[in-house]
Amino acid sequence: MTDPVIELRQVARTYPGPPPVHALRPTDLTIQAGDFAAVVGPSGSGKSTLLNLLGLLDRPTGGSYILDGQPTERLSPAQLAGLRGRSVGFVFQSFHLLNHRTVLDNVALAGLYDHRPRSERLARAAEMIDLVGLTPRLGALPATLSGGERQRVAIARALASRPAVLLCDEPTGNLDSARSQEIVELFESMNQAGFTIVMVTHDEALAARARRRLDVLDGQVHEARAARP
Amino acid sequence: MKWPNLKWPRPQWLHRHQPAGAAPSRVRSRDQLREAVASIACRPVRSLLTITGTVLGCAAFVAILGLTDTARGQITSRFNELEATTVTVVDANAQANQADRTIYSFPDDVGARLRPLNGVVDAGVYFSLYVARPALTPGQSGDRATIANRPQSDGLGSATGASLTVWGTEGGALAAAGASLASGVWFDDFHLLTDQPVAVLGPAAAASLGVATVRTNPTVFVGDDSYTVIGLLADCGALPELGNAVMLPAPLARQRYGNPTNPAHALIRTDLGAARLIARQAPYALDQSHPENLSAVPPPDWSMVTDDVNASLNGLLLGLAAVALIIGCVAIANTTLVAVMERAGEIGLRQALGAKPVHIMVQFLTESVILGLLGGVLGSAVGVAAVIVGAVARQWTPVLDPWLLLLAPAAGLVVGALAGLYPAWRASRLPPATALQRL
Repeated sequence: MTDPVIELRQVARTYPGPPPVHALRPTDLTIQAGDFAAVVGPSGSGKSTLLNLLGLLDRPTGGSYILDGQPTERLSPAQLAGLRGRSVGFVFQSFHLLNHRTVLDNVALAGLYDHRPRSERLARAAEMIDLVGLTPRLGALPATLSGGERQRVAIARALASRPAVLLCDEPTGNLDSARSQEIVELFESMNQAGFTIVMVTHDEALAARARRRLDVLDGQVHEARAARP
Repeated sequence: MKWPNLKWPRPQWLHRHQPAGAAPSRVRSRDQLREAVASIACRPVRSLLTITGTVLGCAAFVAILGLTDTARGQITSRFNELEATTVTVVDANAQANQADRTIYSFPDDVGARLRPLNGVVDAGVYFSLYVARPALTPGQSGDRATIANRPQSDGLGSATGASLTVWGTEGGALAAAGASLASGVWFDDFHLLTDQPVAVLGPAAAASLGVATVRTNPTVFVGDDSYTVIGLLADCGALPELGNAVMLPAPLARQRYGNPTNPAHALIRTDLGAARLIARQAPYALDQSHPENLSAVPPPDWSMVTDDVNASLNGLLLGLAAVALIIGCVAIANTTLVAVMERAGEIGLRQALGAKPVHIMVQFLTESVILGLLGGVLGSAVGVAAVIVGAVARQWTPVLDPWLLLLAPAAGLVVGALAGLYPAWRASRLPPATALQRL
């Protein structure tokens, strides 16, 4: 039995409106360490709301959320930011790389707000860049990279803070099918190595590769497929 | 492209993973500064354009103050020369008792007594007189006598020159004032000591009386007294009040028309550096028994006069520099505000990586302060260059207060800080989820 990385207990998010919008209805959800979960649902179903709550980018209007063993409902914004920086790695659809910084500098941003010395951040960044196979492009600017390479840089940055969970928002949304396949394989291999991954996607093929599938519809989360070995 | 070997080693830190805990995020100051510098450096053209207003403002600030200092130094040196060689002695006794016209403290030979003093170049007394018309009938004695180029007694007495004044002078006073002659000579000791009825006319007086040259031995009449014109002034030098004056030898003038209406003055031109000593000696040389009756008046402090003028001018020009700085401030604020909107995605990313709102605020504020400081330093350099070029072009010595070189960058820094406050606050208030939706 592994430790839960994410525990949602009756977590809800309602936007006040008017009229009030129940973006996420009271939800119970547990993500264990080593899980690879795909969150699937149509646009406006509440996927992104769920991901924002899981990543501490937004606060729930109800329920309690324990991330990496830490109850979050009473944390100050500064504490939330600290927990977010240390426990969550984000991978975005549009990569969110700083275009004027090199690959190494982009990845070394992780840990910046965790008071880590630059030398340590650079060493970690180089290690993560090596893991995603981009060492030859260490000094390249993002503009000179392909979409797949950019996403790998983003993944390296997400891993560099050594997070408890990787939250991915449509990680293949801006990639062609071949590059998407590469990223999926990368996620699978990462998961096999022990990384916990929660991934929001529209891509059914990608969702099928995940070990768990969570369907979101009208703010309700359903466990469509339990974890498989 | 072939993927690298993706048989991931299971990272050791994954086994040792400890709960992250609730410690707030922190960033090293050096890293925060490095991030701000990197953000500025990666957009060099925009950064340069952003600081243009501040550069101009600070450059104007330094150039105005520097050029004013340079000009002041130049003007002061010129006036100092005049100041250093001019001594004025005033009849203090008469000044204290102006109602009593019997008081006159100067001797009849002022120039002759002062010239022997070592360092005196020229000296002489001068004073204005009120010449009353002779009392033909009771009640007329108070009227001013007519000054004319024709005798009063011939019935054709011209009223020409009714506004002219009569002054008693010594030739030394005119020379000391730097006056110059258009024609003839001015009084010498012979004229003064032998009471010769001669006159020297100021330029306006000569024109008014129709006297163009002394070669025809012209005569002017003060009342019924005639005087042979021996000299015509072209320029009155430091005594412009003599422009419309009919000047008579001082002893003769007093003898005929009484004591001056206002306290008499003696003007002394000295060698450079001798003025202070002469100012102390002159009262004793003129009246050994009562030197206290005469007071050597310190020459006017021209540097203070020019300081006043410069202060007014500086106020105006510094106002313009302040306007330029405000424009610079607005430019930085505007650009930073636009940058906040443009960099919303970056702000969201930094928040996702653990940045607190205050980290975002400090980052944007630091960028703005650096831009302001950069503008101040560049502006300071441009201003110094302007001062040097301006001074060299006029063959002046550039003068610049060293504090100015610190003040201008400091002003730029303050401008940057003020300009960055609001945009930085706006950046820190962006919700991370919203910021991440913007590219």
